[in-house]
Amino acid sequence: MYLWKYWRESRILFGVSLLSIAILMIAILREHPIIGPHANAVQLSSVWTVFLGIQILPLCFVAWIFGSFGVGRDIGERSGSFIFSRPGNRAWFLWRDWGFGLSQVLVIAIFLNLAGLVQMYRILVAMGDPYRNIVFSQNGAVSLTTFAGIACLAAFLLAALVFSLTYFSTILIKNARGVFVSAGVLLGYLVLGMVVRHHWPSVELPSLLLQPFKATRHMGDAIADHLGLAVTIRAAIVLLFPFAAQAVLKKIDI
Amino acid sequence: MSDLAIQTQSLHKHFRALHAPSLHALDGLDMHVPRGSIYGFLGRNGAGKTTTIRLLAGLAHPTSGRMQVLGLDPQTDRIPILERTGFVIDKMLLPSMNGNDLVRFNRGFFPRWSDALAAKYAEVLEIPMKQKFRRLSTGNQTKLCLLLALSQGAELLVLDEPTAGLDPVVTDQLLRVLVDDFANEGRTLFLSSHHLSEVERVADWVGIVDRGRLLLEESLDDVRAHFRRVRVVGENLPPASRNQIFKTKVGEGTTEYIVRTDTHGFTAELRSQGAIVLDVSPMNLSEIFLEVVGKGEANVPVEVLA
Repeated sequence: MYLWKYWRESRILFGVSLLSIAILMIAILREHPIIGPHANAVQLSSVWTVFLGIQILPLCFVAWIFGSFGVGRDIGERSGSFIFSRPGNRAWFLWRDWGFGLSQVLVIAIFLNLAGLVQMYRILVAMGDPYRNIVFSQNGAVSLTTFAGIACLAAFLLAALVFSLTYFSTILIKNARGVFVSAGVLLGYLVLGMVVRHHWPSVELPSLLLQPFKATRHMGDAIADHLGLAVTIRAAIVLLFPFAAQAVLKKIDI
Repeated sequence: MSDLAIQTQSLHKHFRALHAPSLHALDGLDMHVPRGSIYGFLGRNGAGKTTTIRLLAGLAHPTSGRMQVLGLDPQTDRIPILERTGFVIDKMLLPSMNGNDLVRFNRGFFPRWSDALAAKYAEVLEIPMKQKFRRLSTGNQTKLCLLLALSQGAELLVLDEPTAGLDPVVTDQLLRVLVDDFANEGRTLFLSSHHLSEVERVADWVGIVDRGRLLLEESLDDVRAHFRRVRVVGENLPPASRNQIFKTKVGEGTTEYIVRTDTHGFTAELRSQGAIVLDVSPMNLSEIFLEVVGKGEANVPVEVLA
């Protein structure tokens, strides 16, 4: 029954997100891809940029808002004493909020990537038989579905980071205004990255977005080394926030 | 099984502040609430009533001391306590839900939840169940909080200022339900308030808290039967330090004693010492409260006298 509460709070945003994706999908299907005369190969990194470019911002925005639902907001609205005087320990409420919210973000990420996959497939079909279902690279070939899967994973991991950080922030400051804290932290990290790059060009802060493909000197692409490790590290960072939120929630007075 | 529904021993709660001295909300609270009683927990604003209730509900952590609710420790046994106890603290539920939604939400948490009771109280208390909580009047919000607490089949109800901000009609309606339907079945009702007349009407035990300490805890019958104001003229009167004397006020020519036990023996002793006893008058709960919290008749907030 507690999940039903989260669902009630988030269902409008969830519905609007899916509706927007449906409209996007219809728009994609109505348009005929136009392929230039010299298009005979597709470089992974270029497709990657286009593919993620259209989804990262909306997905992160949705994840950011989803992160503001749950017990942090309830405490800020003075409903905390009601929620936490229901029989259930604090972690029980927290993990349900977090798990359900993240599941919704995952569903949206999957549907967004499905829209991207359809568009990519149509482009490849328009390019002709040799390219159908395959995105070529100099170092080998990656199937379109694998590519879409990796893109979905990368987008989801970033959205999950935004979601988890926001959820943690709302609990930390006991208010839905935690969304501004998390936005500040993310923006601060990006600014820090630019400052570091400006003053120490050889130093680069880890990217918030998973970088699954590497560009070689001769315009080629391949799946990056240690992709599994990079995914694991990002997943661990995402998980760190609910655990931190649990520790904070355990200590605070409601 | 303990015969106490709630018990606290040397309970302390300090709030630390960065640029201010720490606030001692509770300063060694010792409280004993008998099972089956209606216990009025009285105190001025800021006396520590809500802090105590938050500690009992496991919403806040004590700085030190011990407490038990239905024989269990709220720090370690929160869930069994919450399954058996109805807490109404902030009177703020989930603002976007209506009464029916809140019943649906609440139902899953309590093994002894009764839909029949929820429907009954919705009708008896005339609560618009289809209206969102945030749009309800203060009175209806309070009624809805109470409906949820009553329908969960609790053995103990802990209510923080249940009648604050309510008109006399709604107050009367709520108190009737609490006493007739809940407490009369042998269950324990603990209510904090600074509306003394209401507490005096329903409670059988009172505890008076001030500055985080319980200054008086007795059955209301004993309080009424034993507390007396005695005005005396004389010399070499007994010292104020005697246990029997709650308070002494020396005025111009007269001395006033607040006596807590054996007034007959005390006045007889005074007379035997040559003092003249001008009058012995019983005290109501408001007068006792004012004397206990040490404010006399002056400088008392209006709400205390309500």
